[in-house]
Amino acid sequence: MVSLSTIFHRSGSSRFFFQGSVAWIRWLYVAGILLLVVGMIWGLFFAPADRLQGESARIMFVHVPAAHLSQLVYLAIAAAGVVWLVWRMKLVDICMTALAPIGCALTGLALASGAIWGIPTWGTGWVWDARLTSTLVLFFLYIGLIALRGALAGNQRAAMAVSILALVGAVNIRIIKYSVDWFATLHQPGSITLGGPPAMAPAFLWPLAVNVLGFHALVAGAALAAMRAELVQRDARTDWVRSVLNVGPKQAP
Amino acid sequence: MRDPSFYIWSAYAICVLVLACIALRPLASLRTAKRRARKLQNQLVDHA
Amino acid sequence: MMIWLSMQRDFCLAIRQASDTLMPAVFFLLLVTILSIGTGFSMHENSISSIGAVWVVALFATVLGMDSMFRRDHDDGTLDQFLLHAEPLALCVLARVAAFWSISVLPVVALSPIAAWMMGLQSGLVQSLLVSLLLGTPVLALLGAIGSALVLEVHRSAALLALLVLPLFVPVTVLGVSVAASSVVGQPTAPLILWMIVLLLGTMTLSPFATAAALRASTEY
Repeated sequence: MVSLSTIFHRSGSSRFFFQGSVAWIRWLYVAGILLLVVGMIWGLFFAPADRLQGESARIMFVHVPAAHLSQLVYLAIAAAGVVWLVWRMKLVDICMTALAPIGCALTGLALASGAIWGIPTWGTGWVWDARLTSTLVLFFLYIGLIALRGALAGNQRAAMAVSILALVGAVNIRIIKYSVDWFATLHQPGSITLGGPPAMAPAFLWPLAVNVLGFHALVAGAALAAMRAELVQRDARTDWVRSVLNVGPKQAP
Repeated sequence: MRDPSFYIWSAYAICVLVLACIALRPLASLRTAKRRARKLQNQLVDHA
Repeated sequence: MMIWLSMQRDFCLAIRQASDTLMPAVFFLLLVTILSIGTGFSMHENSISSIGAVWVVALFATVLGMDSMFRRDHDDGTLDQFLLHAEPLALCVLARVAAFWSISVLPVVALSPIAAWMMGLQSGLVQSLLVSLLLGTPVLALLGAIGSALVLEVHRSAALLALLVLPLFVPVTVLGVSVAASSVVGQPTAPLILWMIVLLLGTMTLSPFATAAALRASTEY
């Protein structure tokens, strides 16, 4: 029986994480791919067409999970930033590094699929709506995080800078949402709002839920895999990497 | 309303493409990182 | 006490290097000219877009000087003194930002009525534009301080700084333009101005601490 504090301290160990995450990644990838295949086929062929939007509402099944995950990943980065500023855990910094490109890709996907959805339904791919604008700003925030990490030398300094920026951005993205919403209602009354799905019929809800779960699993698996890569890259010279990779002279048992 | 099937297929195709990139990129970079680490460790051993 | 000395020093340096100090104001007028030419001199037909243009141009003129907010202090060692000093670093940061704002942003704000007049804004609307700029540009300077502290150790940081801070400028720009725009439509501006004050006070309270942390991150590791 392993105590809780042992688990906590072990989870901060690079070697333990590197070896323990393999099984997690495998299962998360398998689950994610299975769920996504099921959810996408369900959404494409078996879900009914929407009464108002017709067939094009099927894009929802890929757009909503991407938009949801893009915000969740930023929230995770900001939370990791707080944890890093308080405890200076190395794995948390590696987690921030791994999550930023994934979140950036998801935000791009949300923007692209939203624009593709907008053309047949709204007649235009882009509206300066509160949600669209804040998603676009989120995209720039992700790029800023990646660029700042790339520009700064030294892991400690980069980690601190990125944590601060992630926190400031997290506060900012909330304010942006309110301010743009307000601005839009001030000047373009009756513009299209992407309201959340109110009381969605189960026929839409189930494939959507399957896809959201699939996105979660795949993104979590990819984040863990990216963390492993970053860990090996940073610790390339250390003893634990040597023993894990089985190179060099074997130590006497 | 225009025929939406083109938009639906392109949205799904982009989604699959981006997800494939998200899933495969870490695996590729892990492979590269491992290879580099092996090389570095071998150099360290040779040096010692 | 040291806060006043530091601000006094900043003003003294600004007067001695007058050509550097005047640069944002000149840049501002230049941008106004280019923008009027670029839009085919059609700015004056729409009051709201000319207000937006003045705001964006003032924003760019602010960003121009932002890169050097802590750079000179960092290069000549003053920043190290701030870091070691008994006064809280956040307070020193606030003093530096206040000096930066009054040296390189205030001239831009002072010129904005002229720019608005050149763009054909009705004279009754200039007042609300001025109020929104006076309340909004300190927020820009305070947010820019975080960015310029983060990129202090980066070589050739201007583009990166713009990438980092421009997304942060969205809320204050939205509010500032709405203040001026609602006076065009004839709506009351007071609630929006109160919101801008809230934003200013909130940024003034939080941003010096974030800037101080960023300065420590840039200098200590």
